[in-house]
Amino acid sequence: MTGRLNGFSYLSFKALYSFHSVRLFFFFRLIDPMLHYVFIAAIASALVGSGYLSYIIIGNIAFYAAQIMIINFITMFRMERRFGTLELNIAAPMNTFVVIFRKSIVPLADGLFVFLFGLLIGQLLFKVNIPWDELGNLLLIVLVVTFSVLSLSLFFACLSLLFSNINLFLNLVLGGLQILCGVHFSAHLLPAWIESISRILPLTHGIEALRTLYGLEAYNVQSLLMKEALIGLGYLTVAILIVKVMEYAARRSGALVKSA
Amino acid sequence: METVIKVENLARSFKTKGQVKQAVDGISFEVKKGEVFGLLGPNGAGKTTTIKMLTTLLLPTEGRAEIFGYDVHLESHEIRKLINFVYGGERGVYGRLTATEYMNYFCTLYKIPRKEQRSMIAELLELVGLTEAADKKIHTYSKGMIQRLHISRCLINSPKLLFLDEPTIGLDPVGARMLRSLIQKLQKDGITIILTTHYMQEADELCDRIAFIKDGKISLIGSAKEIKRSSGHTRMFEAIVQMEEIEKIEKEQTISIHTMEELKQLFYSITFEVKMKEMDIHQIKQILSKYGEVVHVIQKEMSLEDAYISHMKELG
Repeated sequence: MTGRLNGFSYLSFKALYSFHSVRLFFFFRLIDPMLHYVFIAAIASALVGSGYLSYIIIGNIAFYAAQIMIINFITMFRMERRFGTLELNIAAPMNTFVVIFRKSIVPLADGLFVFLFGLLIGQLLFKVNIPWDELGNLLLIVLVVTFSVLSLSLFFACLSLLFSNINLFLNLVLGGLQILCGVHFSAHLLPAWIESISRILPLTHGIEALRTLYGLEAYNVQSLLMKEALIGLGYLTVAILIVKVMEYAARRSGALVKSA
Repeated sequence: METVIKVENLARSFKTKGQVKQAVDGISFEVKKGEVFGLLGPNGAGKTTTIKMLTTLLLPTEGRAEIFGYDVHLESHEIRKLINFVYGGERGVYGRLTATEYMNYFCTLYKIPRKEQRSMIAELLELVGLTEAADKKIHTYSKGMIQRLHISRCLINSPKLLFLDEPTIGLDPVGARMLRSLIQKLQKDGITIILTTHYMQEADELCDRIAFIKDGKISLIGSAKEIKRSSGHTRMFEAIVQMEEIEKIEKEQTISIHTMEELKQLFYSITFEVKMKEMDIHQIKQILSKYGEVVHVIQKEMSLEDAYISHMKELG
């Protein structure tokens, strides 16, 4: 067990993750998402009435989990630059993609926890009842969405080798995901050419599958899940392919040796 | 003897705000197996950029460099298995980890089998005198302890070539002494070392050969002895003088002041070089006495620091 606890992913978490104590965990992973959902629910109820509440809460549970994963993962890389350890990691013989992937395990677990806890909050606070009879499918959706978002995060982590500060870019992308992925309203309501962009982003199909399972929409869950998984696989493939290119470009530009 | 590093016309420029800065400008040198090779120069001379290129973290814009026959541009993966590096200062550590955890992390990165890690970590921490502090968080460490931890980290993959970029910067004399002893031990173990430092005495003590670098160009290369000898046309003097207007002596054409220190009011200790070989100590006294009372003058043996300052002054 000690060996496992001293593993690379755990040490990465201990070295770089933004919080460690139970108190901080309580605030950031339990209270903060709750406040986010309440805030969104209040706005939605005021604007379109409480009938729309379940729809918007489900979208936000998935989005909030995705946001947590992406931000924490990229923050780890920003911290590496700040501590001057990024170059030590890259200069080691371990494949850079493997380094990045192993660092993603804790943000992945974190995102999964926030996702599942979000679904519980949805039930307790907003009566968005978990479809217990479809629990297997629900967990599968959560896993597939988490995988596709992880793949997007890996893609960003590869980009962060080249750009010493990708925060602005990242904020734009998170904003984009919120608008394009059907978080607050159906992606079908978007103009066709914008919807075609939504269809190649993670989350869009996952949120639709989740809403279908909750009886809020009527799509084919299996087909949506397949698409979400394929999109995740696509981003993962791109991340694997670009990591060498990004590392080479960063060595060329000097970005590897710049601090954030 | 085997050539470990071969550098030919290596150059690196950076573009910033539309301007091109030439950080390294066509340098060439070779380093043989087991040598301690010093790169000395003022801040911004190109030492660290050179090291970043040789450690494969930065690509040259021109020229080529080979480490153990592998090209830094194309064969970084092979090179990384054989080298390691330490950059001076307190960066490069995870303050929240203990030294053992930090070493564990890098053992995994360097693919050290799990069952070997424990004994290796204990051995390396003992080598640098950190056994007692092995389970303390790194953020509680002093600068010297962090530097020693860096040294132990860089030995994880049993490197054949080490790059030490200002490893003793900011250390107290005892810490610096300890680190120098470690470097000497590593050299005895057959590790080739590239060292950059601002401390000339340290370079004199540790380096087999030294290169002076300024404005991205290597201007002089050789052993400390050869470098001192190359400044044979200059002679160094040390004097204690009593002067009311010390700044006037700085304008004296026949001498070039290296250091000046006020001992007590109106009394100064100065070291200076004289280019004219035929000038004797009496003539020097006469020149100094134009500016005040000369208490004491002696001719000094040329140190590496004197040779460095003299050389850098010549370069302008």
